[in-house]
Amino acid sequence: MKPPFTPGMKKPAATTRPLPPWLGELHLIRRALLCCVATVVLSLLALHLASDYRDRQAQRLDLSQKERRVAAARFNQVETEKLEIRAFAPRFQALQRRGLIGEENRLAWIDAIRLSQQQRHLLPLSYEISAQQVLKVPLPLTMGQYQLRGSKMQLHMDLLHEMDLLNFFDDLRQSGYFAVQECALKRGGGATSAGQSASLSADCSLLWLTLGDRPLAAPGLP
Amino acid sequence: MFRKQLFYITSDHLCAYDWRHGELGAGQAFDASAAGLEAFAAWLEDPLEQRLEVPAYLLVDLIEEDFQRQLLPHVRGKAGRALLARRKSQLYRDTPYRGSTLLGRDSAGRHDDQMLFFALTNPSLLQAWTDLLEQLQVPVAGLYSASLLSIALVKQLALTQQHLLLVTQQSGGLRQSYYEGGQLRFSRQTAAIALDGVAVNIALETEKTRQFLTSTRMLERGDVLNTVIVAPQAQIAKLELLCDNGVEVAYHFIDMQFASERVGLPHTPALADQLLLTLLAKHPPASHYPPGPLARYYHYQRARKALYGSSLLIGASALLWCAAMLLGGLDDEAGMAQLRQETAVYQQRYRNVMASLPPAPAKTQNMKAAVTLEHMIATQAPEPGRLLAMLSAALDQAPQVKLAQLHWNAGPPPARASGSQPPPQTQASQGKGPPLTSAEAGIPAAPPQALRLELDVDMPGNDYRGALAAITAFAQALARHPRLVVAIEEAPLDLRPSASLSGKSESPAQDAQARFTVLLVWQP
Repeated sequence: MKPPFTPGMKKPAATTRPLPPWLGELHLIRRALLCCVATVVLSLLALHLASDYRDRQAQRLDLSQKERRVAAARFNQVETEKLEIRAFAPRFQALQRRGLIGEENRLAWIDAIRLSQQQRHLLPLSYEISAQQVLKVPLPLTMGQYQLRGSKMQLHMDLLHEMDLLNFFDDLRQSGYFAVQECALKRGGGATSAGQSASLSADCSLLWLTLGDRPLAAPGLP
Repeated sequence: MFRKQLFYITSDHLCAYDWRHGELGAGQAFDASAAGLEAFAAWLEDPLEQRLEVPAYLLVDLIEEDFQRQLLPHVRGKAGRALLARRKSQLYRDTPYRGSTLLGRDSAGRHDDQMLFFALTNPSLLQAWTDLLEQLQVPVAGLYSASLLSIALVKQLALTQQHLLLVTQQSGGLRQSYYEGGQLRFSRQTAAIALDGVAVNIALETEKTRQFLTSTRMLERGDVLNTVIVAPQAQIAKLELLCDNGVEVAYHFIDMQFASERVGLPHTPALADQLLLTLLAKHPPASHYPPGPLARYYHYQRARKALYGSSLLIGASALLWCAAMLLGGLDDEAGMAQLRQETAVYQQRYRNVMASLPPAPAKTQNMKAAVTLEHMIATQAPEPGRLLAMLSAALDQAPQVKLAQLHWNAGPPPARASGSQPPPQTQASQGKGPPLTSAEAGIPAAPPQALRLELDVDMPGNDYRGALAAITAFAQALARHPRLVVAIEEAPLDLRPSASLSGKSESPAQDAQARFTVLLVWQP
């Protein structure tokens, strides 16, 4: 029976559990165990490196095959390409001159507005061009290296006749490409210029279009 | 790797044999004394032979071995194992070397298990040897009984008698083992005797055993005990003279040379020890007696071998895999070189052909895409001119109708404003809203166009009927255009029965104008 604990009495020593006998003899298999663990680790490392090397080689081979296919296809279509270059190059250069391709030329648009107003004796007009935006294009469409961009222009005109508006659009079309989004015509403008009073007023929204180079993907991005 | 060491232990000595590459070496006997133990230790520690790492098989051939046949309730699982352990400890309390084997099931009653219990009743005979083996950390694979191992000899000699008494002369003495239906039922050993008196002794001891078997009902009256004596050829002639067949005894003799050939021993020994040792070394069964802690160095050795074997297998597999990967990679490298060469040839040919052309302003596909897009914009980009021309032609044919204002837009028509409120601004006119799409530029197809008109119609003499007729004619003139949908959204006079109608009529009637709204939707 366990004696009751009294002050001054020596505290009984904590019982220690004996270690299992096999633990003391573990050194008999330590070397084999370490050998096995080292073999497993080294094998896994070697397998990882070998698989990585194999994957990289397979990717490089795949890339080489693609390059070869592209080169072969390009060579096989060289005659077609020659015909296409002859057909498209002049028209392409004309588009460059008209400002569809490349950065937008707002100065040319303003000049066109000014010249049209002067030549057709149009009443004063006001416009506001917003910042350029990239237009989303449906995927199957082939865009080459280009992206479609548009700059919206709000236009207010007082008109003597409806045809002034359409003629004005025709003049603008000579210096660029645009799509009209909406137009509102009202009778009775009220503005006067050089003794002429406007019978109509128009508020239109236009979208100036250009084809700009697609920006290169930033490094590290797909 | 193919080495074993076999220790044949009797009550007064230990005979050690080496087993190398399937052959039993010469035996080395050591007395069960201090000198013998010392010599045995020296033999084990021989640095040239390196025996301390070789698995050891202990075969004991002692008089102090007891066999008991008992019935035990047929219980399976943990309870059955506990029952068996309890019975063994009851039968053989003072020895750790005890075992049992199942002979069969009882045919009557509750079909109890027929168990054969056996034990080495004097473990002190082994202790000196086992202590030494443990001290030297020799891996002991198992502890075997000569009598139990003779079952393998019976099978090897193809002895199929129902009641068989196998008599062998071993270094521990004369061993007689009784088999019923091929299963060991009883075994006894008698002390060794002088060589010239063997024959007389065997005949006498056999008769004693037969009487014991009969008295213990192991052998029923009328059963013929087939006594098979394995002995050297020289002794068989003497034995045949003395062993007369009787009504219940039939003697058979097997030449030791024949037995050796059946077992696979290349030479003919004088005693049956080497027959049993060869059988043990060739096909070692599970240990007959539990070796207990004595076997732990054997388990460590097996663990070491398993670990080294696994390491070798894993390493070799990894190496093979890596080699396959490297070979595949080198093969790919050769393929790449070939492909690069072909690519360079195609590119050179392409450059040669294109050299005759002036430099193009851009890549062909880019030029093609730009021209295609320009064509779409030029032909499909929305503009109000065509729809306004249709309107102008219709107005020319309807002099009573005058345009007050119009709102044209690309895309579906916006919702109509009520009363005098201005039409709601579309998202495009607000400058905010969803991102712009190429559809607004006519790519890939021209969008529909909507034109909402507010018109006035002249009503001379307040003639509503004439005004309505003029409006209808105006709308019909517009509707003749293909893909143009015309809807009169608001008429000068709402004639629907569900709506209220108010007006003023006076005489003479005055001229007036009425406002109406028309929506045109055109798909170019």
